[in-house]
Amino acid sequence: MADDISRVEQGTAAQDSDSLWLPDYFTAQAGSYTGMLAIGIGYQPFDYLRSDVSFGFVPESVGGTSIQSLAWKTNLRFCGFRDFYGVGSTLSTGLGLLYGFDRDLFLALPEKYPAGYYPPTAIRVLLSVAINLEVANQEEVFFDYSWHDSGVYRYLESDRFESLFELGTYGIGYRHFFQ
Amino acid sequence: MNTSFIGICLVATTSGACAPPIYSPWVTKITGGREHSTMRNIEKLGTKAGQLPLKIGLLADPQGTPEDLESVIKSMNTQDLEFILVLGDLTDFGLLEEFIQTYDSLEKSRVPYFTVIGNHDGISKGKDIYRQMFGPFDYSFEYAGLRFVMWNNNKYEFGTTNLQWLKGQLADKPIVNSHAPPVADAFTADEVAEWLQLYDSSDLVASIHGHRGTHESFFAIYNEVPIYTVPKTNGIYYSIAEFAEDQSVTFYKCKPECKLER
Repeated sequence: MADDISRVEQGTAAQDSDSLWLPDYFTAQAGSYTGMLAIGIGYQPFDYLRSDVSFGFVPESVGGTSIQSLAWKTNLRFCGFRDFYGVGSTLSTGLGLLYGFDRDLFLALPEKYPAGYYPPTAIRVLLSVAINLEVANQEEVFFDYSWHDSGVYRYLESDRFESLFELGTYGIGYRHFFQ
Repeated sequence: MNTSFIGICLVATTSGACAPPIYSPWVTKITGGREHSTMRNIEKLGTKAGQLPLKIGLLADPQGTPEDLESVIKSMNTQDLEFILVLGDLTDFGLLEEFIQTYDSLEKSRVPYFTVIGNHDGISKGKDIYRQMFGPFDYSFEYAGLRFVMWNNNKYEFGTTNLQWLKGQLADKPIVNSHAPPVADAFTADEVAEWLQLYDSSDLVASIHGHRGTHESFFAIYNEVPIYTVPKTNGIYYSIAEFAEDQSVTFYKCKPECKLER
């Protein structure tokens, strides 16, 4: 399995110390709660680990309100395939945080509320699963399905949900690796 | 990029199984005709000539448990109810996904339903969503010679409680319905006193609330008027209020079998 992943990783090997702070890839995504379009940069310190930060937005005409958000997502790749419909691929699972910029959202509880009245509303915890397809050298497309903490909470509270897939949403994304 | 890959992309993006993705937890745009339920239900109720005796369903705090809410609605559909009052906290975080799940469950009711906004519904972008999906925060309607007053009394989320509006509604045998009950929890003792003082000069029939978030219902008598707090939906709990011809009210607690309470 390790061989499979390293094959998929050709061209994205770890960088030398001189370029340690340079990002390893550019990412763009639509959906999965990150925005109608979210763009950002990411690092791959190990073959199996990726972490990226992206800024996303949803225009008012699409979301009902204009939304800007910052997503930090870390993905752990656990399974690779040499040939999935003709392309190298890996499966991954991810954990992240989503921060929403809006005057109606808060990180610290506003003074008008009694202490401990609400948890922060500007932050949501994201969970995801993804399939990453290496469509060309240094180019990758991924499809993912994400949940945020509210959906997982509802799933745990109502043990009669038929599927977790009723409580999340999907997205499609692209990564360009710099080397 | 080969043709197989293009095929996968096309299947993923065009298949009927793929509804549009949710771009953000904080979107407020409502789709699927899930709008103005209060107005629709008032119109639905308006075609019926209400009369006493009258039985209505009461449910509160369905947030976080849409499956239990659906079971409650299913159980209520087997009862001989005229309509249902939903005493707020339809969501935990004021998110559209939560509102949609609650709305879709409530829409399975065979009788009209009427909501009041809860404190949790007023956070994040919840106020905007609630207004579009359900309707006004404060409203009233008359049925069977009674006035059902649906009052938004979430003071932290809305900055104040509109006691003047409530005062103007306290005539013609009112039944006051709000999320927070008149206890020194969400309010100060002075605020509770000011609220209850309005009841002194009215012909109030009952005061019905949610918010306590427990399986216990709470019952008190103030100046011979019942003040009732509905149990939280979680666990398939709800209540029934039965108004007799003399306008006295009896409460039943259901799980989902109903037992006389007071």
